[in-house]
Amino acid sequence: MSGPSRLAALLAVAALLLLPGGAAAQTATTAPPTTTQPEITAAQAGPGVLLDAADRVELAQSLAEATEESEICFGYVAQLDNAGAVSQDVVSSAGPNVRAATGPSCPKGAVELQVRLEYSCSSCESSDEASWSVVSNVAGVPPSTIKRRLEDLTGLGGGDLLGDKDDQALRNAAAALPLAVDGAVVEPAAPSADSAAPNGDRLTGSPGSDWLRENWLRVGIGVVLLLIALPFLLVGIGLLVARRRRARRAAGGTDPPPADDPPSDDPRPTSS
Amino acid sequence: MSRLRTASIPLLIGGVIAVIALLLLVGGLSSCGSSVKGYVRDHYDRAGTRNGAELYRSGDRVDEVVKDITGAWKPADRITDPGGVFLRYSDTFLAVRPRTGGGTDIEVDDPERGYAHWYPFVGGWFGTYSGRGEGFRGGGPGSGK
Repeated sequence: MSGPSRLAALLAVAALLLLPGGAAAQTATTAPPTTTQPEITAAQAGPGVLLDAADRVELAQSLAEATEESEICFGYVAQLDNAGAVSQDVVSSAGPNVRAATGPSCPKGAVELQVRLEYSCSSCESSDEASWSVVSNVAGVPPSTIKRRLEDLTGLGGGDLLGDKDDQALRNAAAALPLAVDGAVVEPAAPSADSAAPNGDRLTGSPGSDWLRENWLRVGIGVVLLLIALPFLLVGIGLLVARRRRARRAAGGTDPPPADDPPSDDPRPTSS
Repeated sequence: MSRLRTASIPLLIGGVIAVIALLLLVGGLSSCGSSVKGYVRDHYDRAGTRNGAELYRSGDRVDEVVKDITGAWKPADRITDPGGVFLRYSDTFLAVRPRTGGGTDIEVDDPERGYAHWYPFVGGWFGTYSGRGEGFRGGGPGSGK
C-alpha cells in the first residue's frame, strides 16, 4: 500500500471509530470485535434508543452472518439527545453494544450507519430532528454510494426516524448495509415451503388501496383545484350571460324582461 | 370592452385551474386498474414459479430493482434483511433478493402465502410472530406503536 493510500485508510478507520456524541456516549464500547457470532441474550443486550433488546440481538446476528460471508463488518450507532439527556445505542456484526470496526474478523473493512436524533422538550418551540450518514472504509465503494443505495433499498428519510415506525426504519437501514456494498456476497434469503405461518401467526393491519396510496395526493390536489375553479367559472359565466342580456336589450332586442323586474311599463290593462 | 374583460378574467382563471385539475385527475385515474403485480410482469423477465409464487429476474442490483418497483408502486410496508427486501401491498407480497453471481430475483406472491414463505424475515413486522416465544410484535401497516 502506498503512503497516501495508507494514510487515507488510517483516516477512514479513525473516522469510523469517532463517536458522533464524543464524551456523551453512555453504553457503547469501542473494542474491536474478536468474533462475528455474538453470544449474547436479549437481557444482556438491553434495549436501545429505538430497538428493543430482542431486535438488537436479532439484527446483530443477521449482520454477523453477512460479515462471515463478506469479511466486512456492519453496524449502526444511534445517538439520541432527548431534551438534553444524551444516550447512545450501538449494534454491529460483533454484537449489541459493540462498534463495527476493522479487526481480524473484518479484514475488508467496516461500514457504519450513524444516526442522530434530537427530541425537543414538550414546551419547546423547536421540533424533533433526525439525520443519518454512512461511514465506511471499504475499498471501491464510497460512503455516498452506500448512502444512496440505502435510500433506494429502504426509502429512508429523516422523518421515518421520527415516526411511529422509527424502530423499523432504523432496523431496515442497518440490515440493508450488506446489500448496499459491492462484493458483500450475501447468501440470498431462502423461502419456506409452508403455505401458512406457524402457530397460527398471520398478517395484521390493513395495507389499504395500492392505487390510492400512489395517487391520493395527485387526485386530492385535482379535486381541490376543481372545487377552487368552480366558483371562478360560475362567476365568469354569470357575468358573460348578464353582459349578453344587457347588450340585447340595449340593441332593442327581444329578450323578455327578467321575472324580478317591476311591471311598471307593462302595457296590458289590469282587471281590477 | 371592459365588461368583456371583467367577465373573461374569472373565466380564464377558472379555466386554467380546471385544466390543471383535470390533467392531475386523468393522470391519476389512468393508472386505476393496474397493480404492482402487473408492473413487475411488464418490466421483468419471467423465470417460472416457486412454491406457488411467480418468479421474475433482473440483471440489475437489488437496490436498483427496489427503487424501480417502489418508485412505481409505493409499498404499504417493507422490511429489509441482508438477504433481501420484502414489500407488502394490498393484494401482493414481493420478495426482492440478490442472486448468487449477480442480478436480482423477484418473487410475486399473495400476502398470506408470502407471509408464510418469508415468516422468519417478516414475522412480527407485517403480522403476529411467536417464533421467538415473546408473543406479538409489530402490527403491520396502519397500526402505530
